Amino acid sequence: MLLDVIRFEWRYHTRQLSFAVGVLFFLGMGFMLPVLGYGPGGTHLNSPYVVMQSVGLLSLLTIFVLTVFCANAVARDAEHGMKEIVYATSVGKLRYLTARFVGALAAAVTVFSSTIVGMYLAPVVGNVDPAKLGDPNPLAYLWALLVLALPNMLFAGAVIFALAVLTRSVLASYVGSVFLYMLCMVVAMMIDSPLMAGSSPQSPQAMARAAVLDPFGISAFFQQTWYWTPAQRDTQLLSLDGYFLINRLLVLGLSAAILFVTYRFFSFRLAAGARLASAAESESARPGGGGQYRPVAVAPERAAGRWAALRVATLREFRATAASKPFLALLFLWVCLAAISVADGTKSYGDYHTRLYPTTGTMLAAIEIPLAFLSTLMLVYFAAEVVWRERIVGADEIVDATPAPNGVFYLAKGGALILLSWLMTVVPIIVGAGYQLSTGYTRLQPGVYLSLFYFTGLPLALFAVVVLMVQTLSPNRYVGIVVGMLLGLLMMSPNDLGLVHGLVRFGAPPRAPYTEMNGFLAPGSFGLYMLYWGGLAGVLAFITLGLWRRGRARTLRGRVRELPRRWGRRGLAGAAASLAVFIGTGGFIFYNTNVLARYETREQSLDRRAAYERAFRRYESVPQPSVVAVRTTVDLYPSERRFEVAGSYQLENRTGGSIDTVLVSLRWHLRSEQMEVAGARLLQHDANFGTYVFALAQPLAPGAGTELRFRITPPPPAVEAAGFSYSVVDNGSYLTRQAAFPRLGYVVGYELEGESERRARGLGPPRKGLGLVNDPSRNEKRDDWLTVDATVSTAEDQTAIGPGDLVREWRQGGRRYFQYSTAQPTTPIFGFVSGRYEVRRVDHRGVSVEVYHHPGHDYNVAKMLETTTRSLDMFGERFGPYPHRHLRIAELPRHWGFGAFALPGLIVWPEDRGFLTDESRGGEVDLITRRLAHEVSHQWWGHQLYPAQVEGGTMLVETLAKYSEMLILEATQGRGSLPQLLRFEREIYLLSRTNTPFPEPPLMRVVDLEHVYYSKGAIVMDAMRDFIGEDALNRALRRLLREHGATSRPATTRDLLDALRAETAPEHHALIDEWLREVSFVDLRVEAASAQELPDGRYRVTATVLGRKTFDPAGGVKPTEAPLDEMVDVAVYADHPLSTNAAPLYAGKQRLRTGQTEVTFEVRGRPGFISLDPFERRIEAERADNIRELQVSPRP
Amino acid sequence: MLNITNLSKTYPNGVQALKGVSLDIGRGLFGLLGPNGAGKSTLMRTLATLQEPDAGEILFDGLDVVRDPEAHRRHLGYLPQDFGVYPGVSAYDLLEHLAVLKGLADRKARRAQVEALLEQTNLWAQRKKAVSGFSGGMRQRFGIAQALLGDPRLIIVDEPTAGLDPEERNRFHNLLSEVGENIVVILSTHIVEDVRQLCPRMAIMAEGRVLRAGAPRELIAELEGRVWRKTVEKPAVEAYRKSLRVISTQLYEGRTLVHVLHDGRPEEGFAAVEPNLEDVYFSILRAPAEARHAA
Repeated sequence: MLLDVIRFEWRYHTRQLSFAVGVLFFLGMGFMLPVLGYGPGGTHLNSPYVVMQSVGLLSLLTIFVLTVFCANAVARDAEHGMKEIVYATSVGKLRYLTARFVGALAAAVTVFSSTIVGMYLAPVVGNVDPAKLGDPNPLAYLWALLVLALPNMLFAGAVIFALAVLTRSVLASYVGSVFLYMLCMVVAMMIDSPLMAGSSPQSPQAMARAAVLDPFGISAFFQQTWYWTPAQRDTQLLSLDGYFLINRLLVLGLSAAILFVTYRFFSFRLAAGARLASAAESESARPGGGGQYRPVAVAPERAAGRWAALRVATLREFRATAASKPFLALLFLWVCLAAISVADGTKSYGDYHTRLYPTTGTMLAAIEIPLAFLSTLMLVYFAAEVVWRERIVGADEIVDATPAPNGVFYLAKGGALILLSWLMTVVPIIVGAGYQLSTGYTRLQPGVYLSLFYFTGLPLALFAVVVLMVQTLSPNRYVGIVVGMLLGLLMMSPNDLGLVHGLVRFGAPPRAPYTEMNGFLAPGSFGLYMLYWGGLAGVLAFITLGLWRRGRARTLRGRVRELPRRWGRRGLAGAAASLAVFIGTGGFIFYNTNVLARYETREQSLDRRAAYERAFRRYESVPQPSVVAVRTTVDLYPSERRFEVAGSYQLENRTGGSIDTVLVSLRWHLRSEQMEVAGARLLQHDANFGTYVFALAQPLAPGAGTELRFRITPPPPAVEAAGFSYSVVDNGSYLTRQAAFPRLGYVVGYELEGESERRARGLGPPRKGLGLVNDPSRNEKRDDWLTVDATVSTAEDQTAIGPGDLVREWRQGGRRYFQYSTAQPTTPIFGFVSGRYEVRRVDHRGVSVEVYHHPGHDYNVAKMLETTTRSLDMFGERFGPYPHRHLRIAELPRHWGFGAFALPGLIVWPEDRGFLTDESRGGEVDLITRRLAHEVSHQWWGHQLYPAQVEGGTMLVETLAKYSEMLILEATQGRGSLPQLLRFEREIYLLSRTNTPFPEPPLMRVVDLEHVYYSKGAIVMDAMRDFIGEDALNRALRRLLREHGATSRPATTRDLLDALRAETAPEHHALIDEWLREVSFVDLRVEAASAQELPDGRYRVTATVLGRKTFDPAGGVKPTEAPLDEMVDVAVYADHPLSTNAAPLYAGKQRLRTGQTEVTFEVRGRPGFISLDPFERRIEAERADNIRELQVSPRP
Repeated sequence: MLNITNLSKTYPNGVQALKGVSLDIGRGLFGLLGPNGAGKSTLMRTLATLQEPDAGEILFDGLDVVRDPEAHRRHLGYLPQDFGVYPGVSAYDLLEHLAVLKGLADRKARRAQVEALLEQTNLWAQRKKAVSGFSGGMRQRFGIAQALLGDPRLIIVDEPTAGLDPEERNRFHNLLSEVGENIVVILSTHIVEDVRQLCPRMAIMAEGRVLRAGAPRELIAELEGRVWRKTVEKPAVEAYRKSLRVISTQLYEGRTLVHVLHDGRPEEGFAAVEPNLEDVYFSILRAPAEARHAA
């Protein structure tokens, strides 16, 4: 009997349209993920890891499917007026609920299972690169369904079913499902789930907490697989143990509890209806019943009448929705979510969890995305409510028989939706301003907040037009909600790469972040796109109006047939005018983006780069002259976002042979007015690549020279197609050499790097690294040093910064001019900065240290000056003299995504990566000292030691800068600050290496892996200093600089190794070699530890340590055992070392070997815990077992 | 004033609700009488521009209602058979809201009429109460109040008295007849009594057709001397149905009172009856198909 009822339910659901739509949707989603290449790099697209992660994430979407089924399962009796009949049947409460729930859940599971089918089939039938596939493992798919998706669906289903049963309202369950979804996000955010924080490092405790609490098990999935390497991801299945098991059991238990509560509180009896006004009241009416009926003239066709109607109808809609329970609940949730977003928005995850000052720009960045997301969902749901309101309450016949025209109802409903979105916008503004004030920040900038109504409000208004249309066309509001949801997701899909033209992304033109320095970039361009999409929205609006439901609506086809008559001439004219606006502005934008400027799609860009490689790679071996001196005038027009560059390169043949061809490349979208080489003729110019090939009439003999003259005047970007150019902006321009100046020779950097992209275009495999460290034919190659003489002009109220000493400064024709000149050759990296700066300057031992900052951003300027001078002193003393008479630090707008960048004598630094950092509000590391010391040290490592372009070169620049930075940190913060920094670096290293698609190189051969040259480098350098002593290390570095600095032979990591060996005793060589040439890990564990109090009051600590070392040359696939036999730090603390920052009672070194080692030593004070490698000088994944509580026995 | 010609309507599910309905309706109350499913509501909704006919024409004062519904709604008052309201909105606010939609832009005049109507419909005391909480009768009175907003020249009321107690019905009738003196009021009902009390002219509809139209008095006069009655035992009714034109049967103290249409006394035991509108109604409804067409 129960089975029969369930079967009936199942058949009911599977015959609904929503079932078919759901199956198609999930089949498509499952199919698209592998086809679109979803998954971390280096892992097979059908690896168990990717399959399990995909299933886990997609299972979140089942919330919406479950809503449709569960809400339908329960509320269909009430909605269709079957309630009384069904409730009166003999079916029992338990059987009724069980059947309804199981039926709905079974249908939803069936729908979801189609995603597995899609995922499994995609590699077979879809267009998937076979190189990215492994052998399919059907078990992984089933396992993911069983342990991830099913419990998730049971849980989500239970919640929604409970809502549907207890409220008996479809809408309540729909709104509830959105809440559930948002709740996931909120929980994920509050517990710092990996889902939200991306790949930022997490403490093991936070991961464990998230793993247990995240009801969808995603955090538990991440917790278990956190350090899996690509090889593990390709083979291993999620194991049902540890936190994952706990989480799944909790979820099952919670689901059961919810279902039980639902069962207990559900009653077959009908809910009491609205209280009726009593008859007694009606009889107390005023006697007489009024006088004669008098008609009053109406004038519905007059403007005043229509306005009045529009006003009252809009207000009625707005009030009815805004005061409804679902909306109030949404507002409440939004307040909480906004508070979390705002607080979270001041946290810089990439910058050691430091906090920013809560500037209004920071608030804005935190608010925008959740606002757009939530408001879009809000519009989808409440459009259904608003459009169908009269029909839902049954007032449609009365209202539709009034003479108010359709336009009044359309505009009223659209207007109400827009007002609701405004209400949604006001919430985070209040929350944000409140947050600012609560932290004592008072520069609220209302104008910046109000920009939300423009940059977020207008796209939402456009979306409101879309959902109104969807609801008008759809046969019922649920279909409308589903369609609207899909369109909303489509509209919000990210355009991170900025590669899709704004003309084809509805309501989502290219945007640049708001910056404190530069404000909004190109708001007019945004407005133009809005006008363009507004034109389309106008057409949609007229179509909607023409198909508006009035009275007993005909079928859609009937209404379509009616459309011309309903429109009449005026509707047609309006639609045509909107269409004209759409096409006209579209044409204007297209002319600006694709005719005046150059635009290419992602595919076109890849094709062009491939063509460049094919055409010009042969020049890689054609000797080219060197640029030895640059003379240039750079004219910046910040308000017009335009620049002009002219000048000449002095060229010299520094090769051993003669040179007859010069290849010049310019950024492809730039056009030159002049490009000529003295004594040469232009052989070939390809505008598509920006290349010029010159043939010298007289080949250049070695040592001979010539000149390249150029003049480049690109038009200003009027409207941007996809991304933005930040080179010249109103305030805070940063024009780099690459962005504006010609380059000589073949540009390797243009080559495609992706293997499949190259194969698709008939190119061979990508370059691996840059060659071999000790390959003598390569290690001479690098760009030559040069001198620069530059005259920079800019707007009258701005200061321009260029390379070298400031020679002259003057005003002319309403502009400011600055002439800069380098005293001696520098590395060939230069750029120009201009902004309305305030300057703070100190003269420090012959060096002018200058900070150019945005007015008001002076929070950390004093500290910057102090750190800079301290760094100059220390590095000058330890490594060698500073070569310039100035060191400038310039603030840039935050749209530059980097942390900071060092040029010779100039450090450019985006505002949110230091200038706005609020050091009083925590953070694990002193960011400003760290970053600035790092950048200052690049004046040695990078701009004096300019390595050869070979593998390992980045280590010489970045690892040594990391070392220098730690020297300063230690000098300012004390020794205790380093372990914290190193812990962070270790975490980043271990985490990032899981995403490395190829076997990780050792430090000595690292090319472009940040986690190796920064994070691992920091740990190795600290260990090295501890191991060989700081003096020996600094001597080795000084030797390296002396032998390879400036214009002498460029250095390689081989030279570093030689220098280290030269300065250390032979017994140190083995470990130095290992750290630089191997990818090695240790695994230490305290097996047992005890302490015995001695008669003199001291304690003897005895511990058994298990040690092991592995080399991992192949990226986690086959680690090899290596002997461990080295001195490792061992410390003893009174309390748990992670819970306090107290100094250890004992810290010493003990020789640890592979296998068990017994260590014993004596300490003063009562010991509590022993810790191995407490100062983070070894790389080890599992560190929890390095600490152990001591068994202390008293004096005998 | 209102001329309906050959109106037809078939629903997508195949139900033919109107089959060539033609009617000419002048000033005053017009009763549209018919059983459930006769097509009355379809006709009413079509007259209220809420539905479009498949064929046929409706002219009101010469104006084509189907082609220009917007103009027609300007002087239309409509009380649907069954209606809901926005939850939680008071009678006063809701009435004023509808008044604005009807085009009463002038605030003073609008308020005056809203207040007058609330008094006339005896809702003054409840004007601040939510209409969604009203009882059936109060809600119906609110319905008529909103139908009278503005300056209606055609008022359509669909089954207005269903569910009203006798007193409320009476009050309702008074208001309607007062209003109906100068304008067209169409009252659709299946209650003969409503028509008898209110309407100088009427039509009887069934199965999508107008069977008869005319003044009730004239229709009754046609039956003068032709209606007979007899009280019989239940089993005998079937026999009479076969042999005579039984227009109605009614239980009376456990036996059945049979009304028969017949020229002259049909047989012994039948007594002459003064015909009433009910007899007219049933005699037309029960007439054989050929007789109907003849009519």
